[in-house]
Amino acid sequence: MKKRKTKSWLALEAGREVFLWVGGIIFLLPFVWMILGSFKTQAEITRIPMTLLPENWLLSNFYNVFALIDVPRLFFNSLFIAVTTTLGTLITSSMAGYALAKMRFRGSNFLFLLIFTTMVIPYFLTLIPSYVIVYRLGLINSYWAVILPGLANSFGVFMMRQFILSVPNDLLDAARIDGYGEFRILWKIVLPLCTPALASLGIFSFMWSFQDFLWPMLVLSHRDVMTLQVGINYLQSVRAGVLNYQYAMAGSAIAIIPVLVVFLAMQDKIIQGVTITGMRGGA
Amino acid sequence: MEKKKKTLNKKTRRTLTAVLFLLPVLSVLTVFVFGPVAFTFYISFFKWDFYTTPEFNGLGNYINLFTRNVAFQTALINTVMYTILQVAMTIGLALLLAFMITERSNVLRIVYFMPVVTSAVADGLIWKYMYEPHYGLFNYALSFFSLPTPAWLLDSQTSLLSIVFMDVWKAVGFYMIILLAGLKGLPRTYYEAARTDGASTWQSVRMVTLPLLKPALLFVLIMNVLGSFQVFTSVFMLTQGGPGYSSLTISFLTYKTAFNFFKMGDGCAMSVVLTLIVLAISVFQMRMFRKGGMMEY
Amino acid sequence: MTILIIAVVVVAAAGTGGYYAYNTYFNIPPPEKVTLTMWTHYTGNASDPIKNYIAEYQTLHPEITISYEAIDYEQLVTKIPAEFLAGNLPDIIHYGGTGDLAERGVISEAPSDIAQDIRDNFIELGVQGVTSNGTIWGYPDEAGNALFIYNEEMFQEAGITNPPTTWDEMTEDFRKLAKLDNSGQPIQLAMSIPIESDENTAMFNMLMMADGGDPISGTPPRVHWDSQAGIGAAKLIRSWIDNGYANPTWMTWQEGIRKEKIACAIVASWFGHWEIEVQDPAVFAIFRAVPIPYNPNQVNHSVSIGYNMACYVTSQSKHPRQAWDFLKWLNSDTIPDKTYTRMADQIAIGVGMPCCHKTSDHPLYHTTWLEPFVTALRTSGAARAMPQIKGGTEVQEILHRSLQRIWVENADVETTLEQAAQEANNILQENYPG
Repeated sequence: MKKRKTKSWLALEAGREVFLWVGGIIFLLPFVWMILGSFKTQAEITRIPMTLLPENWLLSNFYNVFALIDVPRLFFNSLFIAVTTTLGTLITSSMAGYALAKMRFRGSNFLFLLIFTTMVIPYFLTLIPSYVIVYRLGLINSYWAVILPGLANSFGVFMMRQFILSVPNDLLDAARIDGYGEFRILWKIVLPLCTPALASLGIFSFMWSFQDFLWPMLVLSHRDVMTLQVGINYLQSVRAGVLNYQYAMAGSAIAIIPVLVVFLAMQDKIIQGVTITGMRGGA
Repeated sequence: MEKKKKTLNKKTRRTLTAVLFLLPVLSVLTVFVFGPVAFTFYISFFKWDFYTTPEFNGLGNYINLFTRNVAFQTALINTVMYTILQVAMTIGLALLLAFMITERSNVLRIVYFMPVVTSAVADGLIWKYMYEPHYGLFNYALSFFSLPTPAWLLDSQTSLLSIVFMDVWKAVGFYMIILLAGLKGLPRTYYEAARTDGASTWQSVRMVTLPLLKPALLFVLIMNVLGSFQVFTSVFMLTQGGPGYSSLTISFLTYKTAFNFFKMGDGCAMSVVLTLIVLAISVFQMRMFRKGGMMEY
Repeated sequence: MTILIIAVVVVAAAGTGGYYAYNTYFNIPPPEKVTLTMWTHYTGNASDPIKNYIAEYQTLHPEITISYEAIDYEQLVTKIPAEFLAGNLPDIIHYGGTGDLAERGVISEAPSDIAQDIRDNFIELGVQGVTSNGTIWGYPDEAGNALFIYNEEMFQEAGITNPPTTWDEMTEDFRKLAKLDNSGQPIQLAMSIPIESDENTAMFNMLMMADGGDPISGTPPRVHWDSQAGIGAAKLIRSWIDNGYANPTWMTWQEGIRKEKIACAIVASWFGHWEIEVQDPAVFAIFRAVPIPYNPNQVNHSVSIGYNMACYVTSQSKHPRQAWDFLKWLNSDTIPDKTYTRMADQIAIGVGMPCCHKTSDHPLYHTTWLEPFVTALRTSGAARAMPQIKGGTEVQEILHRSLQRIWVENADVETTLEQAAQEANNILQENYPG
């Protein structure tokens, strides 16, 4: 396929490059600004006219954030909840997805449709009663309040089912004839073939759980079990001082940078996961 | 005779195993989705302050919402406006970027996707700081070019728009990747045929690529609208619905009504209304796309 | 011989009988061991005084152990109702919102001797703050009120010698303080308009009272924002914006005050402490507080809103008598050799003010900053508590957003306040039909 390299075409191409890269810089700007801000003093951060770079790259803001909120504890809480929820999601979604994809039984289509519909139910519709249920079960301020609802992810079931459908039936039938139980089939044969889907689902689930805000704010209010997101929000409180954006920036940096590092390390898997979703969902 | 017995056992055993495999998901979904959905509908007909016994109120809560509750009426309009603006900008930008990026380097993909994975709370803090009328980044840049400097989050006219901008920034990367995937799957033959027939780039895109992209676009639209209607964290972090009622959205109002004012019944009624609207819009979108009405121009 | 035996038997019987009688009636059994649990919101080092006092009390009363826990205020808000439903409330909570707690059955009434002690020894505002339905429910402490604060240097620079006492004087002073540049943008403003919910409504409420009005009153309670006093107060604040003395979107009061670009504000004592003193001690030093200027056509003295927290004994306490005795010792008895109570010493840390009359000489209450607040608090009629009502949160939210619309969107004062009052009274009508 030949492309005529006319002047106008070159100009268009150049324009495209510029647009994309300038756009990219603009997109990154908030993060850069956050990092710069986390090293500024209160005077610098509220100065008019604005200062671009901090005069000294002090770590005092981070110290102060650690003094205001118990960062290690919050981090642990968020991490623990995210990991547990993710593992739970992977297990339950694989099991359900396999059952719906490869086990022929009456009502499997109906159940799949049912689970699919829950994907389009707005979470707000279930919020108030979920809170009431968690409250009555006495789970407020316990990790279970966040983990339990997160164990079933209809999106996860959907994804695993679609993926598992593509596993050739012959493999499974052969295993069944050999006397393998269904669970063994799932564990030893199906799942190893589904690692991309598992990886994507795992990453999605983890990211979503880590940055969830409303639900943890409602059910985990005690400082021992609070999550990182809810804790960061307290940097806006009166105690922290309303104008102390430098603390807010430092706190944001603490919340964002680890996630970004993980993201950059696994970005191909993550983006691939979204792509898969797009292809399946769009098809 | 013996063979029949064996098959029966296998079938029941298979069904039982299937049920067992589905049990975790189904039980959690029942407790935290199906049950609550029913419960929300049920409570929406009562007045309940969470600590005392609920009182039956019939359609009273719903009538109240549309006649007396000024906050709700404004929130409804705001939410619709917010959704229209946010979806239009996000999908428009995502589509544009998807077209432009097609064969580009991976770096750009990563850059545009980064806001998607970061904490909404932290992003809210950063943007709140950038929106500061005095020492914030945006007004500094604007004043640098001698442009007017709005009060952003403190001005009723711009508060909702400010939230939209941040949310577009957060969402574009995600939908761009999905649309990219959609674009990749399209056969180039039709597009090339149109080009050789003398159609310009724009016409070929319009007549060939976009219609072929319909399924992906529909998917993206529905997802975005669904998410948009439930916007909460952005409003919570940036404006708390203010100033006045200018950036109040239904989800934020529902949260306040249920968890600050302790009016569970009214909160549930609001959730139901929100869901019905979202459902109606999704159905409408699917109809439009099937007819091809939107895309025929 | 027989007499001897009879005598021995009688003595033995008397002795045994006496021994048992003594044990039953005169040998007081050792007091049972009691453990009291107590929650406050003084987290971190803020609890040091009270912890010392608890240790002291335990030494004085060895049979009593007090288990103390400090929990962040925002968490207490959800924790108390949650533990109430679970049946796990502590014996004592230090908290606020008597009406709500009493109505829900979370706390117990004070016994008559304690109630009398409270009526005798605590300021009017404090007693009001712990009274609900005519009964007294706890020991009031940690009061706060708001005053008019101003930057002394900016006042001097503008040629003002005395702070204003009436609205006319205030307007006149604002005129001297506000400076605009050529394009009409502010360089310096006279007054701040707070944008956070609590402060915004508080300022309006106080100015409405200064105009002779009562924001929420009556049985059943109704709001009166659309009365002449309310409209007068709103119009006054609106006039500041129109005349360029104040601007709600130009700077927050914290920024304006700390950068010395805004001269005055109406703030509560503890806000001043956390937002100004802790953040900027140098600026803090030049601020003074005076009673809020009033409208002399309507009232003849200044009024401000006071609120207070209290120490309550919960309804789930198994040892209410011991709990109340401890609270009396903590709140109402003065420390030997000192002229203030132990609780006063504790709340001085958070710059809260004590409600007990017997506390007059704690050094912290004689600082230049805090003294006017304390005086206003103790002057009868100068500090008024806002009634605790069901639905209060929603009502306040309606007022807050309506006021924002008047300040920022230039909504019409009368119509907006009328609508707001109507909406609020609809809600109050549901909760308090009458």
